[in-house]
Amino acid sequence: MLQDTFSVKNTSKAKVRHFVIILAMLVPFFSAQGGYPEKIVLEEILTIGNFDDNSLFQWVGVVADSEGNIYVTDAMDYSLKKFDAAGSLLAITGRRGQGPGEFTAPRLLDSSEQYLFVTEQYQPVIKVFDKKLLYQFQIPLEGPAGDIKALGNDLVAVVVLSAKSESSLHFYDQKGELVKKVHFAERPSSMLMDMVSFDLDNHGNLYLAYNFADRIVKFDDSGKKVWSRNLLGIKQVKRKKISSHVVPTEIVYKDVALDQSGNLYVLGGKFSENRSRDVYVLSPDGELLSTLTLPETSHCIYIDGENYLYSRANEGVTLKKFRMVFK
Amino acid sequence: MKRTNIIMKGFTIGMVFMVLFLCVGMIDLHSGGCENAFMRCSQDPYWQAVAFGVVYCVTGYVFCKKYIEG
Repeated sequence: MLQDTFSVKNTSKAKVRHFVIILAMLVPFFSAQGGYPEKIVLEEILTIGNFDDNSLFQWVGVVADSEGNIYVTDAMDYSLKKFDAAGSLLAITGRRGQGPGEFTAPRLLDSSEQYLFVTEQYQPVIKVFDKKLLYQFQIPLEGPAGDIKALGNDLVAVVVLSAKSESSLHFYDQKGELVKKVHFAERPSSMLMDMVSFDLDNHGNLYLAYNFADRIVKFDDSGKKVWSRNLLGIKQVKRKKISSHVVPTEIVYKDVALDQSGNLYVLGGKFSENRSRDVYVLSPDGELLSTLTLPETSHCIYIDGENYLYSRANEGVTLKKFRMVFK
Repeated sequence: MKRTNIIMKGFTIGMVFMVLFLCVGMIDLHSGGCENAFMRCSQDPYWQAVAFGVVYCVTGYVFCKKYIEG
C-alpha cells in the first residue's frame, strides 16, 4: 500500500515535471510573439554636435539618405544642414527671412530621391531644396504643417492645420495642387485635440498617434480604419482655458516612425514611465511587441532605410544615431 | 527649555512648508511655459490681425510641448 502510494506520488511528480517542461518550452514561443524579440537595445554609433562645437544649436527635423548623409533643420540659426555618414558638416544653407531659401522657423524635414522638404512653423508652405541644399521652390499649403511625409519627388502628404479643422491628411503635388484627402477624425473635436504625428507604409497604410489623446490608429489606403490602440490607459488629458481657447496641457505621444519591417515606433510623452524616452514598438497588426528606452529625452524619433534610429540629446545640441540590437 | 523646543518645531515646520511652496511654485512655472507662450501669442495683435492667426499659435504650442515639455 505504502509502495502503491509512493509510486502514485512518483507518477504525479513525473506528470507535473512533464507539464512544467512543456510549459517552459511554450513560454518562449508565445512571448516571442511570432519570433519578434522582447528587448531592443540601442548601440550608439554616431554623435553629431555637442556643447563645445557649433555643429548644432537646436535641431528639430532629421532625415538620412541612402548614402548615409544626414540632413537636419536647426531652429536656432534658421538653417538646413548636411552631414556626411561620419558626422562631418558638408553644407549649410538658410538664414532668417522670408525670401527664397530663408527661414522664419524651420521645423520638420523629409526627403524624396531628389528633394528635401522643409516645413515652416509660421508660414503655410513647404520649402523644397535639392540634396546639395540649393533652394528649388515652395509648395503652398492651406495652413501650417503639423507633420509631413514625402512620398516621391512630386507628392507629399501633410497634416495641415486650418481654421476648418477638418482633421485630414492632404496629399499635394509640387505645385500645391491637392491630389487626395484622407479624413481621420473619428468624431468632431478641436484642432488641438486632433493634432497627430503620422507615417505611411509602402502599401499606403496610414499610422497616426494623437499628440493629446491616448490613441494610435491605423487606416488602410482607402481611408478605412483597421485598428485603434490605447497603450497607456489615459482617458482624458488635463485641459486649461487660455484666452477663449480650451487647450490640452499634457502630451501623450510625440512622434511615430516605421521601420523597414513595417513595425511602428511610437515615442511616448508625459505619461510614459520614462517620459519622452519610452518608445513603444507595435506590429503592423497593432500588437505591442516591445518597448525601448532612449538614453535622453527627445521630441522626435526617425528611422532610416537601414533601420538606424535617430534621436535628440543635450536638449537639441546633439543628434544621436543608434543601431537597434534585437535580443 | 520646552518653549525653545516648541519654537524650533514651529520654525522647522515653517521651513518645510516654505520649501514645499517654492518647489511647487517652480514646477508650476516650468510646466506653464508653453501655456503662457500660447496666451501671449493668441493675444498678440499681429496674429489677431492675420486671418485664422490662432492656427500658428497652435503649431507653436505643439512644438513647445514636444520640444521643451513632456
